[in-house]
This record gives sequence, structure tokens and C-alpha cells, in this order.
Amino acid sequence: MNNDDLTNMKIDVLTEIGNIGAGNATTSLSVLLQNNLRMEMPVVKIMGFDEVPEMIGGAETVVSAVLTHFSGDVSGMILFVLELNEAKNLAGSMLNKTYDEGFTQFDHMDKSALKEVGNILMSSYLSSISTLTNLQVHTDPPAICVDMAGSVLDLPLIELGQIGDNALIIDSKFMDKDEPIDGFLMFVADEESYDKIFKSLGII
Amino acid sequence: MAELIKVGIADWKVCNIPDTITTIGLGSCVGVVIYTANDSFCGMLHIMLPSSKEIKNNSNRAKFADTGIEDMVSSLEKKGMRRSAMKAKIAGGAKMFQFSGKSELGTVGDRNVNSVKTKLKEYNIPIISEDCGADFGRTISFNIDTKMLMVRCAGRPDKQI
Repeated sequence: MNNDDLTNMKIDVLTEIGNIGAGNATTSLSVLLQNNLRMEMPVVKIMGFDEVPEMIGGAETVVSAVLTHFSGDVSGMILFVLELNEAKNLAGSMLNKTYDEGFTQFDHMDKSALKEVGNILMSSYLSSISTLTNLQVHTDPPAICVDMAGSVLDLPLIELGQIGDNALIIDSKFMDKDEPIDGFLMFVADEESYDKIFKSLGII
Repeated sequence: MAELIKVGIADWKVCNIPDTITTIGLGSCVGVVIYTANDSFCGMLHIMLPSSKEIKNNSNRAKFADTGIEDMVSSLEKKGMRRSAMKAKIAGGAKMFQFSGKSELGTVGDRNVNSVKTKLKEYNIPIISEDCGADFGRTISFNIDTKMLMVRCAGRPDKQI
């Protein structure tokens, strides 16, 4: 088996884990939002870190990002990133309010709502990894930041800069009624954590 | 034709009149501009981490405050800039995420700024102006004619320092 096969196989596994996690997450979110939220099949990509902001329109695009560190048998960080307008849609539909055009300083409630959505999605993803692999994962309380994508993503980049050069992106698209909400989850873990995940699933 | 020179993450570049040099989306990272009153060129650096000595994987010297400044200064000197005339302007080093409790990572912005200041002091390069810290990202661009550093932030007025 060459490296490409191995990578593809690993991507398949991570996609499958993502699907299970996303399924759980969508159900929880639907209950929270009291509507039928749907989630499309996530696409898993491995990319260089400086390419990540390009997924949401470049380093100067304003985004909302919720970040959580996790530790235990596997450690790293996970982010839930939404373009600003998508974040407004999501927070608006949860809090039943509308926002002005352009850059908005989210208030405490808005941030809290977005943080909760991120928390549910990220915890669901992590708990599906934990359930499938029997590995322990603990999460820290999440933090949120709304700013230019480049500046928001440089903390994960700094952490990653010490352990590797690539990020695993779980690109997930949600549908709220007929309105698509574009967002993605970004999973950053060290080499050792990936090895543990694949080992416990019997892949390596 | 004046061009816009873009400095990436963990990178530095030299810019000549009439071009403008910029780096986008500084969060915890720090941008450093080195120029003189009379030269028609300047250098801009975008560092990610305070010290090359703390990390094993340190082959990219522009990633770190210490080695990044070393390399940029020596390249500027080779182009004829005098060390004694050099001045600096710096921006960045924010704390983007407010974590409750511990997390040493949250302080990397401060550590980056401190490390940049220490290195510049070692080289006797005065910092003419700075816009560092707080909790927001910055995009910076430097005009060699006016020697002004433009700092742009999302949802805040532009600033010249």
C-alpha cells in the first residue's frame, strides 16, 4: 500500500467518523433550534494551513470561530468556523432577531448562542471519535472570536506550527429550512493522536 | 507601476519605492517593519512564534522573532541600509480567544511582542510606533514615502502609526 492509498483510506475513516458525529450534532441542533436542521454529507480535506482562510473567501473575510482544546488519549484543538453572514443567520434563527448589514459587534447573547452551537457540533464529533475508538477525550470550555479569518486562524496555526504543517478539515454544510448555512469544522491533532485513532480502529 | 507586495505568514520581504508592502490578518502574530529616514526601501516581517530555541522544527527562520529579525536586518544591510539608522514599527500580538483559566497559548501574542522588542533592543533599533495587544486582528501596510504604517481592523476605523 502506498502513501496515497493510506491517506485515502484514513480520509474515508475520518469522513465516516465525521458523518456519525454530524448526524448526532444535527439532531441536537434541531432540538435546540426547534426546526428541521439538515446536514449534508461532510467532505474531509487535508490542507496546508495557509490555504484554510481561502475556504471562506480569504484572510480578510470576517468570520466567527469557536475554538475548543481537547485532551486525554488524543489531544489537539477543534474549531467551528462560519462566515459572518452565516453566523448572523444562525444566531438570528436561535435568538429570533435580525442584524444590521456589514460588520457587527456581536453582544454577549449572540456570542453565547454561537458558542453553544459550536460546542454541540464539536462535542458530537469528538464523542463519536471517542465512542468508536474507545479512547478518552476531554474538552475544555470553548472560546469564541469574531474577526478577520487570517487573524482568527493564526492561534491554531501557531499550535500546529509546533507539531506539523497540515490541518484536517471537516467541511460540513447545514440546511436551516431552505437557507443553507455554510460552515466548517476544523480538527487539528498531533501525529501521535492520529496514530492512536487509526490503531484502535485496526487500520495501522 | 506601483505594486502591492504581500508578505505571507512566517515570511519577510523587501520593498522598494514606489511599491507598498502589506501583511494580512495579524492575530497573535507580529508584523515588524524596518526602515530608515533616507533609504527608498524597507523590510517587513510576519513572525508566528517568539523563539527558534524553544521549538525543534525550526527550519523556517522567518517563523520566529529572533531568527526572522536577524535574517531581515542582515539582508537590509547587504542592500546598503545602515544598522545605526534603522527604525522599526510593529503591530499585532493580540489575544484573539479569551479562554477561561489556564491555557498558556493565549499569551503567545504577548510573548511574540516581547521577543520582538528584545531582539530590536539588542540591535539598537528604536521602535518609533506600535499597535500591539488587545483582542482584535490587524492588517498592516507601510508607505515608504511617508514612513507611515496603516493599521486596518474589522469594524474599527483605520489608524496611521
